[in-house]
Formats: sequence, C-alpha cells, structure tokens
Amino acid sequence: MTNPSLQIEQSFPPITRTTLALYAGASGDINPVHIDLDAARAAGFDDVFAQGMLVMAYMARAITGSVPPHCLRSFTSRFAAITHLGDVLTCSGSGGQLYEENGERRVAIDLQMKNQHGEVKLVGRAVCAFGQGS
Amino acid sequence: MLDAENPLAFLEEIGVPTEQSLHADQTFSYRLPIYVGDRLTFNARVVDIFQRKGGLLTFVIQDVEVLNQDNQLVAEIRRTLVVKQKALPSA
Repeated sequence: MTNPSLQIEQSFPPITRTTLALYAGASGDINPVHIDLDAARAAGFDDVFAQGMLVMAYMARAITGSVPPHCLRSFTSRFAAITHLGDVLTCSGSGGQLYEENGERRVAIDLQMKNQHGEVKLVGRAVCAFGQGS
Repeated sequence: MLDAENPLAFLEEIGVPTEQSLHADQTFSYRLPIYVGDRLTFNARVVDIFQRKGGLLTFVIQDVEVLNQDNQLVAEIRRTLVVKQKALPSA
C-alpha cells in the first residue's frame, strides 16, 4: 500500500437464500428472520433478508483486498437499509488525506455498499496505518 | 462471543424478541495482533439505552472489550441495536 489516493471497487454475487443460511451457521447469528420465511413474515417483513454483518463482511473483504489486514486499525459501519434476496452488491471506497496518530501515519477510507439500483445499504469507514511493511 | 449458543441471549434477558431488533451500526477497533493459540476473553456490557422518534425506536448500545491471556486489550467492539417500541413488554 503505497498510494494515498487508494480506490476500492468490488462486486459480489447475488444474495441467495443459500448465502443467508450458510452465513447464519458460520457467524452464529441465529436470528430466524434471515433464514425462515415464516419468522420473517411474523416479524412484518415480506421475505427473509440479509444479515447486516454479512454485508459488513463483504465490505471487509473489499478492504482487505486492497489493504493488508495487519494495517487495519478500525472498521466501522452504519446499516442504512435492508439488503434483499437477489441484490447484487458493489462496494466502492476511496482514501482521504494522510494524518498522524499514535506515532504512525494513517488514512481513513470511506466506503459505500450499494445494490444494483444504486441504493445505499451500508456506509463504512476503515482506518489503516501506512508504511507497516506493506 | 459468537461461539455462544445464543449470541443474542442478552436481548432476550432484557425482554426484547430478537425478531424485533435490527442492527444499526457496528465498530471494530483493532489494538493488538491476535495470534494462533491466544485465549481471548470477551467482556460485554450494555452502556446506553435511549429512545428516538418519540419513543417508537429504542437504541441499545453494547460495548465489548477483548482481552488476551496476558490481559492485554486486543480489540474493542461496539454495536448498536434498534428495537421497535411495540416489541418491548413494558410498552
């Protein structure tokens, strides 16, 4: 990582029921509204929908595709809208100005996860250290 | 923490059905590297509860500190959950 004008862009496969079931088991998020249509309807939703942390995980994958994981200092995200079945997510982000903190140079990368209609699902920020042998 | 049999048990303990809660935001702060063989302890606590939109929405903020076997802080986690007011038993 040597370029402060860091750009991130990555798309992911459409969200399927299988994706949600596998992520429920892998993550331990057992909230049934994500995997059980009956539970989703009982809670007032039309269908099951993606776990927020699944979408955050995709964003993390986009970050670590461009930034070595050991450089990551923090990762925060706000869940802006529900991600539905069939959504095709694309993560885009760009790094800002370098600054000094805790004796190292850092850069904040602002990220957005949008679906195929341009709806923002997740707004995130990752802070990365610069020049950590990367 | 997600190894727990029910990671959202704390919500049920304070009377919130998990189906009525949504994840509002999530933050991870990475303080020190975590290595294979480390034994981690997660200390979670609810640090704030407040209402918005005239009481229709209740926000629950949970902080988690992650310590290794040498009692070093390796990570901090904060998550905010939002609960629809009608789901609360006292509503």
